[in-house]
Amino acid sequence: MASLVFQKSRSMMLPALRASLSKPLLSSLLPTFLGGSFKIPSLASLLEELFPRILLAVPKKKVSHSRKAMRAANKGLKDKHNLVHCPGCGGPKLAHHLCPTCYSFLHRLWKSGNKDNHKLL
Amino acid sequence: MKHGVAFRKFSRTTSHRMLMLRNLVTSLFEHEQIKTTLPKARDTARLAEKIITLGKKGDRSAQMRASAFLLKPEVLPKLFGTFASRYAERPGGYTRIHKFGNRPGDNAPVAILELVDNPRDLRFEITARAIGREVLQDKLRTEKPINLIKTGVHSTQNIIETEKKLELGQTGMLRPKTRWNMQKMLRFRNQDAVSQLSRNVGNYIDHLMATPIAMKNLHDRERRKTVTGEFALRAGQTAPGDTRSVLDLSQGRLG
Repeated sequence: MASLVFQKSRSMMLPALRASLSKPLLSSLLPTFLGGSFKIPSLASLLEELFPRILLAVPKKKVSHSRKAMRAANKGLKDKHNLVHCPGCGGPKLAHHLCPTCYSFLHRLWKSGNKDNHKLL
Repeated sequence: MKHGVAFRKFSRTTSHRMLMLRNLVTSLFEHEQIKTTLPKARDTARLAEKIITLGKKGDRSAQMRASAFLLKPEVLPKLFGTFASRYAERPGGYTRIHKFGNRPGDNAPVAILELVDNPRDLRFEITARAIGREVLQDKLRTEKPINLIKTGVHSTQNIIETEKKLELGQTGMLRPKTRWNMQKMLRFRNQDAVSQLSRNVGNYIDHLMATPIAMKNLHDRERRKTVTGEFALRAGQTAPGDTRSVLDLSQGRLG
């Protein structure tokens, strides 16, 4: 008798209550426009988020000095080939550029020319 | 690729960029030689030459436009006076850019922008040095250095006059490149430039001849300073009349 009543009461449950019980608890608290179809992430996808597969790769041994040096072989400074002789002073200079020696000489000359030459009265 | 790009923007707004260029042009007219980055120099040269064209025109509208562009009224008489007369014969190309390496702070390529034929014309000075070096080399082929120092080199004016008239294929005392540079320097200038150039060449030849002697004198003076043998003073020792402090004495040769 009691079982019959229980079964009847179960079938007679309000549809809303039934629906809310069937869905997970968290989504029932959310308003419907935010997506009532939110699913609790499974364990596998959670693991993928926290420990992506790339992070599980790790070097086995410390890279040796020799191997490290070999990898850095291409990183050296390149030689400058555009060096020529300055026709003014004969020293080395960059092609198509001013000679720094000549320019500094001239610049100092002009600077000293600008200074007040103290004349004795 | 740079297809169809009209001008550089310099990471600045239009008003900022224009003001920066106006400042650069005004500074160029004021000092006639400025050092800045290479792209800025190229854009400034372009604008400066247009303003100099206005200066050459000289009429009322040109004056109004130039005074609206330039930021210092002091350079206006220079523009309509000095530059107009200086560049009267020259058909354009009133500026020159010399590349000058890279700036240490940001490795930016730097250039010296100057007005052609200005009193401190860099090309003029360096050409004079090149001519001086080649003339001296030529003289040293026949004469001994000591004789050359005693007599000096006085024929620079004649050398320049003769080289000025030579054509492209002919051989002379100078290298073809140096001769061509010299001819370019003297093309739109008067006879004063020839005498100025010959004076600069003579000065540089004297400088070249004097440098080894000056170096030797310096070297001898330095060697004479160090006293060796029994009269050499050790650290801490004094000679009579020495008024140096104790710290100075204890430092000895380091001080």
